[in-house]
Amino acid sequence: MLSDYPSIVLMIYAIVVAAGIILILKLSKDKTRKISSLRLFIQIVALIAIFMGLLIGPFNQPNSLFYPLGISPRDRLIGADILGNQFPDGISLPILACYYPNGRTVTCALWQLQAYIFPFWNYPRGYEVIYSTSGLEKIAIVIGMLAIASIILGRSFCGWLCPFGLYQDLLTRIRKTARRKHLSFTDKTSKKLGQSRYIIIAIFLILSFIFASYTIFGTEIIPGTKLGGPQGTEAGIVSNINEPFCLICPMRPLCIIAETGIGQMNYSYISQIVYGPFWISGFYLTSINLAVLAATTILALTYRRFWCRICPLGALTALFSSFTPFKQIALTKLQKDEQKCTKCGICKRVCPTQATAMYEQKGGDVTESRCMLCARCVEICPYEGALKLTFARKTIMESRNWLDQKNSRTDFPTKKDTVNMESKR
Amino acid sequence: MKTNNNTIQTAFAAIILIAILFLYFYPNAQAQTRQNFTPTDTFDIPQQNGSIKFATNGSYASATLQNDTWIFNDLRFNTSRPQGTLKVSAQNSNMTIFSYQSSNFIGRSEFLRVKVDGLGRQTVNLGLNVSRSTNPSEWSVITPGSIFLAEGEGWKLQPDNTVVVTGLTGNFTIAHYNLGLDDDENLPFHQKHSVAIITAIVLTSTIAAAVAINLRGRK
Repeated sequence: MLSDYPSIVLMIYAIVVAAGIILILKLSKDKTRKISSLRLFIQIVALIAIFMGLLIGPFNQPNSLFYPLGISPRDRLIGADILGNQFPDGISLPILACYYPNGRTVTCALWQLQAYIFPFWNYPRGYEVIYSTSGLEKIAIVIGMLAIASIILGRSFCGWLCPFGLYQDLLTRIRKTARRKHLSFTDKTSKKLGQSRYIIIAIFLILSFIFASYTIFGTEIIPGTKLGGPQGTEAGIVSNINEPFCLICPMRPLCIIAETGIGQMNYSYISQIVYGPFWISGFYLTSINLAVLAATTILALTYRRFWCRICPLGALTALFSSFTPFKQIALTKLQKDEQKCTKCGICKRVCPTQATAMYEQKGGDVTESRCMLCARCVEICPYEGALKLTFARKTIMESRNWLDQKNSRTDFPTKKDTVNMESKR
Repeated sequence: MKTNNNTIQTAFAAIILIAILFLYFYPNAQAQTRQNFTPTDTFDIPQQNGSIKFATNGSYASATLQNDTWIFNDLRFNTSRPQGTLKVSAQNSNMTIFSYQSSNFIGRSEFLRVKVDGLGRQTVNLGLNVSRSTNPSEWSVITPGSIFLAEGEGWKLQPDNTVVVTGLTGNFTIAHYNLGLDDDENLPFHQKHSVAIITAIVLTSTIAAAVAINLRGRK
């Protein structure tokens, strides 16, 4: 019984989550905030689930009350337990969440892709080159998992589950509390930013290959990237650059700070200036990580969900859900009923990533690569059934005539009405 | 009705309280048969002119000296989870153990942080939970400044997964990363590639189901 402690914790958690969702749906009276409240709740729930080991770990010490209950989910390495030695780093998901704080239960798919590219073939191994026995197979598995996740839920991973998405949403709430209005890019710039994601991911995957050149081609294209080596410093540099995106990822500092803050990681991993070039400030963290986090934080305070507009992981998800042929079979979609749309444009204005398809396109599937299926447009659209979020062709959420109920009006709002309503909130 | 509710609530609270007290005292009851150690205790190896010490308080189920090697069964530090069986020896040197993490901790890495005084020879067996001989690439000996020493630079791995350190002094860490390099080598094909096979099946099923759903919707 005691050894089932993680299962019991997860079961209780599931019950609490289900109760929370029901309560929000029942008690939330403001129809223009209902989906947002639900989404915030699910984001927090996902954050706790992803990093549950972080929360439980500190209590699972010998002097703690919970100690006799057994090892925590973090220590169980659920992903490793389920997937075994073939895939010890956890299930690939399109969310920014480093593997170490979540106990390798679920892991950022981009990290896995890079890690498995580096030790591409079975070359004599050096330090950190640990996945070389079946690199190609592992890459195929990551891509397979990404495709499954994207076909089923599409970019709703970004809108509803990604911890860094929650971080940016909280920044938006801070901005709103400070009564500052957000800025928007022009449509052209917004589209260009959306396209830049594919260039960014291409650059980082190519960099992974370049850094792995000694392994793959037997030639060291960039000095210092040779595998292993007799001296550890060289191997140490390799261990830091074999995942080039992780060197700039803004989520990495948050993961490390969270883990260090509760004593689950040595503080020196952040603070100590260790070996190697200028960009390495600590064992796990680089000065580039911190600079990108700072810049993203400032930009996300100004532009809603700024990082999501250029996120290469979001681009990967979009590849498997928003482009042909995957778009045809995607299960989660944003649908528009052209007959009910009056082109008031409120959907376009409230979209955090400035997606425009739900406004510009005619009826039918209006999911586009920038859309993260957050359903803010569905929530705010005042025309009954004009916008719908569907899963497997079943409507999960649809727009409601909230103006009619709130103001006891019988006529549908004009564009001016909706602009006024939106500017007030 | 109100009284009944109160009674139920009181009983419920009492059960929770008893459960918590049980959980709190349960490990203490278990700990009574164990031997404690402190930083002042020294485990001498007279034949080898060496000794082993611990830098923190802790306990073990048993400690025996066999073939000039100290074997600590079920070693625990006050600030750690239950560890496994640690086998250490020191020749012409004194070893102080700062921390030890066995496979019981997270299952995929083990390490021992030590300080060695005197130019001598030490052997360390971390009690890995594997039946095979490990590969030297799974091991690291790390000296201050995060310098990872390759095998042959002061340490050597034995077939029984014992690390023999020669001529190193000061602080260093002996670490093993068990990331399943060879564990699956001898498995049949379907088990060796089970994750890939399952992923392929799930992906195919997902695509088939998604196509069917979308086609049915169009009709």
